[in-house]
Amino acid sequence: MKKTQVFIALLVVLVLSASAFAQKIEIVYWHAMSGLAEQAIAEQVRKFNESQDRIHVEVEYKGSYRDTLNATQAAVQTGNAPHVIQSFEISTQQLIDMGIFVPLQETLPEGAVDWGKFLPAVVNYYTFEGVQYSMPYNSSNAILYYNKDVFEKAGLDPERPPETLEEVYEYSKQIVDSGAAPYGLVFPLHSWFVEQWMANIGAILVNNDNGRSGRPTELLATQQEMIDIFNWVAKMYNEGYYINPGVENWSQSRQIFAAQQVGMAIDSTAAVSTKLKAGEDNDFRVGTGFIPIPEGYGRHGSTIGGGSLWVLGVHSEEEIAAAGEFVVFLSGPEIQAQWHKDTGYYPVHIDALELLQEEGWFEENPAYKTAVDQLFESIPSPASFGAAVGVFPEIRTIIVDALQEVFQEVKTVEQALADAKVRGDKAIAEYNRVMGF
Amino acid sequence: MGTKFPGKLYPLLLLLPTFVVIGLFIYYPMYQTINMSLYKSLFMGLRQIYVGIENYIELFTSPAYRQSLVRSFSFAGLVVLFSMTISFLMAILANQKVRFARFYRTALIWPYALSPAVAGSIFLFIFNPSVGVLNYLLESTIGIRPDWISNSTLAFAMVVIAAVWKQLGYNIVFFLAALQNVPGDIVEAAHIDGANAFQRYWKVIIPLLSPTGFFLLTMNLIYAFFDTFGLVDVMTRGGPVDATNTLIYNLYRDAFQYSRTGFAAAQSIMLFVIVTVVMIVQLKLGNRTVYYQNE
Repeated sequence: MKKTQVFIALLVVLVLSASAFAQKIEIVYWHAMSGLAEQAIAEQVRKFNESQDRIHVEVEYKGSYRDTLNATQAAVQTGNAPHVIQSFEISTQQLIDMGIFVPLQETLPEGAVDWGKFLPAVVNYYTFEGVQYSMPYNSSNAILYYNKDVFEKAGLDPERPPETLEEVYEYSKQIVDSGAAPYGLVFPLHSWFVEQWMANIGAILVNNDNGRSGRPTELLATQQEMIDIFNWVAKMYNEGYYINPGVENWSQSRQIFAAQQVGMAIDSTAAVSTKLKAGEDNDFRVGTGFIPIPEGYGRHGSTIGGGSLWVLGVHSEEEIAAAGEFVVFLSGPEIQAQWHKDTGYYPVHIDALELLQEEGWFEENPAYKTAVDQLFESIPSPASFGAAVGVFPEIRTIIVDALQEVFQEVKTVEQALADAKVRGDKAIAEYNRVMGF
Repeated sequence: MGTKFPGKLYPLLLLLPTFVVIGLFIYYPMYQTINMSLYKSLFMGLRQIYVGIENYIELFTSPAYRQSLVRSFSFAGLVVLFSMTISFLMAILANQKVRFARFYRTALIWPYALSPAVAGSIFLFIFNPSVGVLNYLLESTIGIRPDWISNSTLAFAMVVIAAVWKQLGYNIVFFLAALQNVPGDIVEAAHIDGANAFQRYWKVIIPLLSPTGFFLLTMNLIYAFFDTFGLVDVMTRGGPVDATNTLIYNLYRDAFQYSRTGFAAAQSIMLFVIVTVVMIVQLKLGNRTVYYQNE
């Protein structure tokens, strides 16, 4: 008799614990970071899973941002969509238009997040008409890296990086003429830098306040700001001061800087560890500075690049809430501070900055500080909020094509930009047509 | 002689698996592609509007598409010509009875084992205008440092060279196998009849190799049209200014970068038609010129 009772009791315990286990909410998270960042993310997810016992997160690396997004769209149609994905900044408008994501704000209980605790430039980018759509996660912008030894050899002050594009030209000339390096400057031939320059001089890329006050209908490629930037890049290339490492070719660009073929490089803040390591490995000192901008416009501060976290709306309310909770965890101070140290992306949470400051991180690592300082200079405006346009990926190709036409002198700057505008406007019009605007 | 199947149902039953596989994996996707090409779409079809044949009209009237067509044909022509000629010559060399012949033969096949992404990256490092090996050699010998990345013609040449190199291994394997199967007595007979080395190849061996050559021609054409977009993506992304934007890369970019699936589907149908026409022409010519021994 007793034996049976014990057996039944055991059985009850077993069933109860099993059902408790089954009640864990399963969340699937897809991201687009490889290498060191992938390991860092795995660690973040592990911390989340251990921090509570209601939710279990399964993490998966899905290739590039594009791959992740394409996989998500396909998964939604076949009914096995993930709960959270990481996507890049230029897909923001598309993700809003897709209608498969819920604004992050709606997944969280009222007042769960103090948005005042996040870097304003970062929050603004993902806010539309007062609604916070996604969680800033890995944010970056462009800064100047320079080789102090090359500067010295060229007779330049190694503690004074150039601040304007005109200075970059002068410095490059001196570097090349003195034989300190074969070229002055390198950056991947990427529209992102053009976008960064535009934002820094307070210019917008598409009409309707960069698409922030209404649907954009025009690519503003023919404005003077754009022409000035193009003229400068063309001059740098044609006189042999800028070396083109290839379209969106980050690795070649970094290789050229590491091989001391140039005195200066413009690159993402996310490359800070890579750049410092290149200096160590090849025995030269690396300096950093704000991204140099065209003279005569004044500095309006950077817009951000990188990615954010999106919650899909094609799941039960319970799962969506759990996904929201997970996303908030990933943007918390401790996680973001560690993330910054691992990768060079900004800590998007202000408390994370304080944590790092207390540790003395920025004093020991001044190169990391440049990036954060630069972002704090941002003046809130449609230019620094960044462009919101559905066909952003295509616009990037159009801008880079125009630069290449200018390099090969098949078109003048004005002609190339006028043609770019026609192409861009057509792409925007088609997008708006399919969306029914 | 022939065996008789009991009833009409039995053979059909045996064929059923084939029909199912073909239907599911070839005809159904084909039908879907045609269907998709009649829409303007966004986000992999999450949003779409029916537009009839507008996508096709756009393709036919687009100067950019016409340029891409011309570019693809010159690309395919160059890749097929060079990869087949060079690999044939190398196969002849590899077929010689020399020391380490087996090692050489294995080494020649290696390029084929690399993925396009890896091959593309390696070639980029070779061609890099400032830190590349090639420009280092060019500068120290003849004093020039061409910009392979920014110049349209040079970038096109660079991708052709990489695509040719990538295909060499595959071609050499087949040519080598074919060369080793050439009956020695025929060659010997030609030798005795006074044919010199060139004549022996031109009049005897090449005709005997023509079935392999024809097979490789087909495979190389398909390779040049369909399988080279990985190289293009890694090396040039279709640039500079569309110089390497072949039909297949343009299609890939519209479908997976710009999420214009409908327009990409129309391009895919066009590509299908183009390659079919090329294949028909090739088969017609092939029947006249290829010599099959056992006929």
